[in-house]
Amino acid sequence: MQLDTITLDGGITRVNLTGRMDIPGTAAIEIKFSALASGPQPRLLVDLSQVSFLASIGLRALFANARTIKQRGRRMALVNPEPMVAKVLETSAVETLIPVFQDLDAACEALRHS
Amino acid sequence: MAVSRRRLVRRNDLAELSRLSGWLETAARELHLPRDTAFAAELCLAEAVTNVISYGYPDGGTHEVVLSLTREPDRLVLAVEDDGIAFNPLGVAAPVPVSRIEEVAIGGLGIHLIRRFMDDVRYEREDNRNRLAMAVWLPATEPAP
Repeated sequence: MQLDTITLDGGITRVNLTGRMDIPGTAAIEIKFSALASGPQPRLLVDLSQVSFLASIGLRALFANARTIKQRGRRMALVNPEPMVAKVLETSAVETLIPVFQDLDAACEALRHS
Repeated sequence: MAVSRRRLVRRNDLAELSRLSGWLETAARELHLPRDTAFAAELCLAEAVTNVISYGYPDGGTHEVVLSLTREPDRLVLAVEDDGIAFNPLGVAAPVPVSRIEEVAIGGLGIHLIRRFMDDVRYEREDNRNRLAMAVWLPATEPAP
């Protein structure tokens, strides 16, 4: 799995994840992801459009990083999951804890005003 | 109509899970599984096997976990069999919806996903072995091979 970042307007860091969020995939990006969650960026937008698989290990990483971000008074959102990945997120009720958007502009807008 | 079966034996080592996807990708292609069915199968097998490896062998040692995948005319049947301690994953309570991220309980997520993505889930213990069988209906529009 791969992780790269792009800085958007309004202090938003877009985190692009590519690949499979299974055990090895999540392990491959774990350090980078938690460094971002602990870092100074005030708003993280996690783009899931290139994530082809998501298992509970990946969910745990998302929850853990969202918890870190919230503890530091910052914000995180998820955007554009593929349908089956969205079903995993929905089953886990991620949306009650981390907002999920199907539109990049709406996600950015929500992060800027949160 | 043909019934196709694939069987894979894996050591109880989480590192082996990374090879599960390669096996499943090949099996899915050979069994002509629809993409969403293959996703559900891989997810549920991975969650079931992770639970077995994580909780089934408190004494350590090397064991084998047997996976099977059977395409019947209208459904896909998955099974995970192991010789670990008696453990019925269906006895695990579903995660309680929480409103604050601090309260997220990670335990039970795997089984919760299995219940959601599969249409039938059964557990039995026989001859000191656990067997978790899962089945999902195949989409009606997909032609059987």
